[in-house]
Amino acid sequence: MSGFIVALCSLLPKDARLLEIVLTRAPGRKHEFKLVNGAEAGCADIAIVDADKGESSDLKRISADSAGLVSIFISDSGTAGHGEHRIARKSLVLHCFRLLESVADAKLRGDLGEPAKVQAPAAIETPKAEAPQPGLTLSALVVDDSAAVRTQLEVTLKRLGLNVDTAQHAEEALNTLRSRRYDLVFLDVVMPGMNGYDLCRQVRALPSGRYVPVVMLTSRTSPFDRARGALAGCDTYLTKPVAVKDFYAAVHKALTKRYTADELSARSYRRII
Amino acid sequence: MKTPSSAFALVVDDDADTLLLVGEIFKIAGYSALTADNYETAVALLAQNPAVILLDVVMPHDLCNRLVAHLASMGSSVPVLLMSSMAPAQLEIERRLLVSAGVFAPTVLHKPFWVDALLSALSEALPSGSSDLALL
Repeated sequence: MSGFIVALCSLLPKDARLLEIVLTRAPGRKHEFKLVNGAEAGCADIAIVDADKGESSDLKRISADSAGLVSIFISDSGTAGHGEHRIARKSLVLHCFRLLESVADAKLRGDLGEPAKVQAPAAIETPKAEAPQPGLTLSALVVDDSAAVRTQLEVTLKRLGLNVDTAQHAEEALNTLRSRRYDLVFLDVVMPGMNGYDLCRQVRALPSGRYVPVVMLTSRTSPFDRARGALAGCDTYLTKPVAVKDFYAAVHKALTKRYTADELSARSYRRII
Repeated sequence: MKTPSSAFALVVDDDADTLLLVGEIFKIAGYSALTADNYETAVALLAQNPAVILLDVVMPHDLCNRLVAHLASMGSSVPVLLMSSMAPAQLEIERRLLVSAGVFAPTVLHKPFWVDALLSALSEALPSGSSDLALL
């Protein structure tokens, strides 16, 4: 297990405590995170900053002393701060652990600067997010134990110009994802064997699954199920029955997170509103 | 004691970390969480019809048993999630005792619990809800 020093800069005591609780309890930790008070920290690997409190003098000082420091910004809106790592305060509990693990993985791969200290990095096997390949048709993987749902999604996605593969259960999906990449993955939640939440976590751990938009499509309507989806790393959570126009809108939103409009049209995507 | 919203959860526990974590999860899901660490406060909040009750088993002054007796006497159908760090088998026995007393206790939470375990238990206790929450 690799260790990382995480400096907490200007965080509310409640947020700092929540981070501590989550990091203490999270199962299957790949890395060890040592939380330190930003006001007292010398150097650090990662800084978590309350972006709603303005510029952090602690962050400035730590940045000057820490090569490759990565900053994660927390704010009420989830959009404050600079850089790519920003979290809405209300979803801190759901997203902070996965984001920290993801940042730590990237640091070990060398994508975000050398880890400041501690053990040698693990073997590097994961590529960065791949740039879209022009000319290729977009592809989707649909994972559902219901043949009727698989067929319905396949027909609907083909109307949008996507190639579609299907899998009946989690193991089949993981085997497929180990051999090829997709632009979009649809997951059912309740399936025989591994459920959709656990499958989503495993998808995120695969080289081909780290950045792929994942849409969960389920009849489970509890807001706590929706939160479980977010915790597992899904991008969109749709509850059945879903109106076709809502489905198309969700697909479009997921694809535009990764591709520009020009890239989408170059890959035969036909938007339907 | 705060005024409850229309959908609120009652959390009866004396552990600050649990109260903080549970409170945040409820907020994410669109509920407010109100806490009680004594019998009188808990009974007053019960009268305002919480959507779910999270109840620590081991608390001072026999608080858990007294609240269970109160819930049973009022014929409450509010789901109760028992929480404890006691052995799983023992906690399951406690849950069955609640069920035999006429309290709706669908599942339990073993402390310390990870967020997913809490969400899973709450999903079981409150299987449907608003689908317009922006969590992702």
